[in-house]
Amino acid sequence: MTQHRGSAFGLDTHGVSRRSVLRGGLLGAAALAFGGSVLSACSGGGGAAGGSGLPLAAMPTYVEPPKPTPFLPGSADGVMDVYKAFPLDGARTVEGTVGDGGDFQFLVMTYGQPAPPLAENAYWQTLNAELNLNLKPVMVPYADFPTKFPALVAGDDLPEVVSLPMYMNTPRLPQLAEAKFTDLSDHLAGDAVKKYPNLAGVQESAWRNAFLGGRIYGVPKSDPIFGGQLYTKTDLFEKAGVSEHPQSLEELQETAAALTDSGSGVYAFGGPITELVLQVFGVPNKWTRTSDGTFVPHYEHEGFVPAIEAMASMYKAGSFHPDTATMDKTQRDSLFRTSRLAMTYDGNRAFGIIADDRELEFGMARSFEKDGGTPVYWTGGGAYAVTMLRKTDDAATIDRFLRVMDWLSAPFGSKESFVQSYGAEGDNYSIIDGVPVLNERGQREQDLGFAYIAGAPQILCNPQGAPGVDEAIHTWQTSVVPFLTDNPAQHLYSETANAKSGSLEQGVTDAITSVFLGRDSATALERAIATWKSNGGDKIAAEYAEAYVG
Amino acid sequence: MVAPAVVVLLLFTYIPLLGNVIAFMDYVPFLGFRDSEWVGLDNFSTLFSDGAFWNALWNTLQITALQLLLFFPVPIALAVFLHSVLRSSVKRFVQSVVYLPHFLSWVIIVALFQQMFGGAGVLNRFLITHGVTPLDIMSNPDTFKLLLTFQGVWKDAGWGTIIFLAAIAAIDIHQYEAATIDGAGATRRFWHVTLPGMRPIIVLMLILRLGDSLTVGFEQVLLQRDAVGPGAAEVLDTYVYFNGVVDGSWGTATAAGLLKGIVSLVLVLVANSLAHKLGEEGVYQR
Amino acid sequence: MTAVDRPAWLGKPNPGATALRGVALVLICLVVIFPFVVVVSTSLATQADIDANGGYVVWPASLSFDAYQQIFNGTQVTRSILISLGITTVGTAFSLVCTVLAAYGLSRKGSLFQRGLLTFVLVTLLFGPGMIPVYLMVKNLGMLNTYWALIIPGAVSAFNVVIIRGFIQGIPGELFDAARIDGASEWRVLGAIVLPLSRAAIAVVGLFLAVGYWNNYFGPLLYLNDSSMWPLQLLMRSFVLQGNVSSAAQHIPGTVPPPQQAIQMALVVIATLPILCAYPFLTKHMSKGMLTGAVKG
Repeated sequence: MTQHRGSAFGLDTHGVSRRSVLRGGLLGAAALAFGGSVLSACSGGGGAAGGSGLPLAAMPTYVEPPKPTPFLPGSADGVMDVYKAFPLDGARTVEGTVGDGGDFQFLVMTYGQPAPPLAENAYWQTLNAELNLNLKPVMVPYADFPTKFPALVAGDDLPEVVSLPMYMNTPRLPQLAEAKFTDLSDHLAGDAVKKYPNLAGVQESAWRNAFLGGRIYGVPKSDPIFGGQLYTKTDLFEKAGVSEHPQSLEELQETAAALTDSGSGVYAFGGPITELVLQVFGVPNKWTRTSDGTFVPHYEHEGFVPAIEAMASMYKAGSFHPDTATMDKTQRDSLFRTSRLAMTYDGNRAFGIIADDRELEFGMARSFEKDGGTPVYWTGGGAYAVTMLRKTDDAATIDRFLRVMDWLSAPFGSKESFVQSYGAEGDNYSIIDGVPVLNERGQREQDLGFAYIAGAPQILCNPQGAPGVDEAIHTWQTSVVPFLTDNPAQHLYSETANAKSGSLEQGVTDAITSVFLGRDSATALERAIATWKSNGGDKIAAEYAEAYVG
Repeated sequence: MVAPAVVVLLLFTYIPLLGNVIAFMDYVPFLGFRDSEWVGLDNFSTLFSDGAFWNALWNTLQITALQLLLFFPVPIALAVFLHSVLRSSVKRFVQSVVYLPHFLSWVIIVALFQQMFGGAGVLNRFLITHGVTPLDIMSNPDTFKLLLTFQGVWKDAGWGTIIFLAAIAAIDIHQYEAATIDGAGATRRFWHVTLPGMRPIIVLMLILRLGDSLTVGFEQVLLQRDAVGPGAAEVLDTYVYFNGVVDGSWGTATAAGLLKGIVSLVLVLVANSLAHKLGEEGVYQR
Repeated sequence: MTAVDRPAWLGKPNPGATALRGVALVLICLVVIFPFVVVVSTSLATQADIDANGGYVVWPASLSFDAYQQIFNGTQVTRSILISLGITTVGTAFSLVCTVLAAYGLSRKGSLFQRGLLTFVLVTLLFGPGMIPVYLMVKNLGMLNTYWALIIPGAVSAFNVVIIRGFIQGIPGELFDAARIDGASEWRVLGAIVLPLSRAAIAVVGLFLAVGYWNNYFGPLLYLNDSSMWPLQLLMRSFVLQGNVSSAAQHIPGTVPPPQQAIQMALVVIATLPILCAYPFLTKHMSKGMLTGAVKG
């Protein structure tokens, strides 16, 4: 990388920015394609060796954790429990002291300003006291993670604990793990996990992410299994007199047309809805495994190209905001909030929309199939990140690491979970009407990132957020459960995918954008898919078929 | 005297330059230099066989040419113009603001352009209300390279004047007096005093820009790539990003970097010898 | 001093030309200042304003300093600004010294290693080392997690050396000859002739360097693991990209958070202000013409 002119340093724009990948814009599809296809699975079948030649580790045994009675119960399928408030008198789930008074250095990503330093950070101090450790975060701005991480690896400067987010495609992760991180299988596989009761309370869908080459290398931070959803701006729908739950493709198109009023600057959509249309057309979740064991990519599904064409025709009809191609998430959210976009497709919790605005009235569209039939809903990976321990043989270090993870994975309602969420009374939160309420300082100090490296299954509890949101999400999740479609390759490792999926997928994503915006006809997309197949897609399919176990 | 600079360069440029050897390897960070596999020219042949690489290279060259033609003269002209302003308070004021846009990040500039010239932007809304068909400025692949150059001019023309103003200031003021006494008017003074006085610096800057020519703007392109498509927008730096960095193919990325360096070297050598023909010292003289 | 410094040889002003010039100047200033006005206005605007205007506000209906308050909450931002200032001043000084010395050293013809050294420097113009090898070098020298890692590795840029060298070569040879005949050492020539006459070039390069150091986030990202050592640009990086001040996005009842756009714009203002203040000081040096009487001296 050459140096930039005029300045002594200049790698000023060469600092590779993942911004475009994560802004949920047109490249968002590529981001969603990254996550998950990296780690290998273990479906409990015995015997098949992992890459390391060691036997396949067993899935950690699941032991249902104690939890308070939810206001609205979830389900084993993944619907989240809803609570109205955090219990103040939770029981302790971790016995004894967790730490040994030493330093605990961990690598974590930051999405905003890093937390205030220890001396001013009551939350941090509380955690240190609780755990009897000296927490030392190594913060990396999320967009620069692909740059910083290889440097740390190359220089052998990895902190003791590394938390790798699932949506980052870390190159050669299984080999990297084998070379630089500790194999935790002996401590976590099967019943061994019961030594750490809270870790035993983490579900299988999250644990699957922690397997590399058939062995357990890390502890997951569980995520809801739901992917994205279509948010609808209620007032615009009421005004246009259309239902917020279109039940077919035709209805969606009519709804979009009815909602759009370009004269007043109101449009139905402001960003690509690729995932939505694909699911509407019944396209499976990235891969399908046929009865004879072959893996078929969703690109080859009969609905794939027509789905993109349908999206393109809506663009042509004017239902999309003219600046769709260059708008970023902040602008899109702003337009949605001010009723200039009627619908927006966003992730699980859509923080930008919901959490920031208590007055926002919105809905979440139910899944539907293009002809009104049975829809599909794509599940996600089940974990936000996997946290690993630098390679060591020292039993005490490993034990300490697992005890910290155990503490972090304490279930909702427990004392430990409370401390993680709220910190120190007075400085970080106060009790108002029996409900603990975070103050501004409490919010900022949590940017320590510590709570993001591991965690129990998530629940819905936002007493400080907009009222009724949690119930609405719960209802929506329940409605979607019958249609959950897994990606059979989610936790499988393919060498080609790991090495090239980024650039391979980019070709298809670019073609999708091209067709969507009307620059090209669908043949361009078909060509791109053919290129994808010949440049590596077919190889990936073969590798997945081989890697599949059970 | 040159010692400190040499030491710094030796340590932090030359020795690390040896690291470019990974262009010939399948470099994996955790294996390091010693254990990564040697692949010879494979990385290069991968690049050469990829149509997208040539497309990116071609786009990059086109943008470089456009920038040389349309962008490079602007700061010079602007500097001459500003220099001719006599009221020193005005002059200082304008000098102090003309470079402001340089400090805005591309994110903001693209967003502002979007607001002004985008599909729903100020300009197009104005046109629509007056019954004129709106102009597609921000997502037209055919005019994209011009748009890039124009954005570059807005952002950096002012910044570019700084060095040329310094060059003009270095011209001996007596030459102007002498020229006027000899009967030269403003235009003649410009051609025979100002421009020749600036020439060494102009030539120098031209050569230096050529040395950097293939770096045409990463973030600026990345932000707008989707709007016009990679056919029109992909440049070497974004190509390397998607094909090298995102996948962690450090070998390929470095190979592309080496190619960039070689092309720039050729351009600089050619420009330097042309400069010698013009009687200038250029950057390097035998 | 009269407001208009019109040298005698210029002759009478032409009102038409002056008027045209005035118009052109006004246009240029508008085009250039307008984005900044928008940035500042947006940083002072309320959420309602921002939403009504589609993201960027030209003139806020009501002023709100919330964004700035949010940013300066706590000591982090203030400290990182001080850190940035420190790095910029020390870095610029160090770089300038190395660069000017190198430029002068390479501008004298005939010295033994001159051509070799010049090639040595020029090659770095075209071929840059990769990020990881530099990182390893910094690590091996023990500079990780120190501020030196931000100053030394990039201190010398061939680009700057070539520029200053170009200006030095523009100094009339007679001055050098005269001084050397008088028996002055190279250092004295440097101090008495080169420095004063290259003031403009040094000021310009100094500005480039200062801006480079001030804006540099990549070095700190790579070499500073301790976030309490982070300079401003790195501290704000995630924020500027993503748009949240805090990752934990729970809502505090009774308060309205300042709009994201406002905070982003406020950051731009804060990050740009110091450099804007530095520039007027430097224009002094840049506008001075060649000293008359230099040949006589």
